[in-house]
Amino acid sequence: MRPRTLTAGLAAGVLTCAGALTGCGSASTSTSSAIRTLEAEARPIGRGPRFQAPVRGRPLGRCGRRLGPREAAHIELFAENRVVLVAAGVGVRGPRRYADGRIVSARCYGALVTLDPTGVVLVRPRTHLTLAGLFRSWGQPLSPTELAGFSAAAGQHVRIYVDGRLRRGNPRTVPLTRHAEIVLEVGPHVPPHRRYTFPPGPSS
Amino acid sequence: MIARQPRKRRRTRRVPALAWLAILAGALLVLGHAGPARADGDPASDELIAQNVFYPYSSPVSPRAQRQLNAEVTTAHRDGLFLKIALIARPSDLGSITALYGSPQRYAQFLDTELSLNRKIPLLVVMRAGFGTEGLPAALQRAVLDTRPPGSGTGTSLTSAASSAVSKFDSLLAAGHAGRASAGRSSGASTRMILLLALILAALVVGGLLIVSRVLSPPGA
Repeated sequence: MRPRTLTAGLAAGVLTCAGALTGCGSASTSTSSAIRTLEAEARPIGRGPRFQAPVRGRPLGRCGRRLGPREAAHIELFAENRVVLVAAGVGVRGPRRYADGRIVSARCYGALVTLDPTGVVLVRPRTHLTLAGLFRSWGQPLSPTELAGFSAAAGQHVRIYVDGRLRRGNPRTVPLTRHAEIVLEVGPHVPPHRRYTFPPGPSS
Repeated sequence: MIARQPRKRRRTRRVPALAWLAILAGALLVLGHAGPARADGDPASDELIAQNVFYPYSSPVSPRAQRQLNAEVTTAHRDGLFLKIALIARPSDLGSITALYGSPQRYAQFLDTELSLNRKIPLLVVMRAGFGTEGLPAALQRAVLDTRPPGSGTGTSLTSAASSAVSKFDSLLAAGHAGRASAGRSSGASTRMILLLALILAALVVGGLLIVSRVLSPPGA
């Protein structure tokens, strides 16, 4: 076999095998391609108190005995290439009753609350609260260079994405508007989600 | 001087071909395996860090059915199977990753990536479409296959199907027939990655040998 033919054959073989191994060129639909992308994009949830910081703050505004009508926003936090969980029970005063990790009743509810660790923040309508309020009520620091217990590297900042779009400025000023998908990151870049499908409940 | 020129041209034609081969193979590698990370986004993983069962938000489950399933999972834990279960009734139970609705096995693999940071966690996902598992011993996987899938997508139906599967697990564990946990998807994925890297490396070595043989071969051969 001539070297040129050999090289061409080798190239075709390698590309075919590589395609087969990676799934490229198969009879995949756009849906299965999207699923594969999602699988490749999953990030582990960080372990330990830095990634699962407890609530140390107080409820904001009037602490009412009923949850009342709420508007939901979803917050996702990333640091050191891991998910940082927003604690359940932000803005809620005890005693609290839990069912399967979700708060089902409490003594009173502030203007901004989290009832589970999923990042869904329930805000009393027309209170015009921002991320500063969430982090104050959580008892965790937030600044252009600090996100909960994590600091941005020298010369870097906390990156802010709202509905998938990069937003410049101080993260403390980001408003918690209805159905906003807000992603904050320090460390390696994590392409953000654009939207979140909110569950039925007080927010929908 | 005149005799050397054709040989020089041939060499410059062949090197770009090999470079393209390496670039294309590398691109496939990157596209196939090292895609950018994109959040977690699903509520189940956040809750399963501290809980053993994720109950759907979209379809309520009676406290009695929850107590029964929780008790069965506790029994499994007592027998050494640290099982976690996600019951997904509607796309909204998947938050930002609704594309995985209807694909319980894919979602089980996704959850595995999020939850199994330092050690493998056995997972059972239940959707209307059926079951998905990760990290279960082979005997328990067979038990899942023998379990009737949920009749509908309601929380009650999903809980009942999960309960049937876990009660089988408990029986097998109590009888000592559960065996060892499977390696799961991650090991399969890494094997694939190693195969692909070996293939690319082999191609580059063969290509290099071809270049060397061309350079060393006498002119006009």
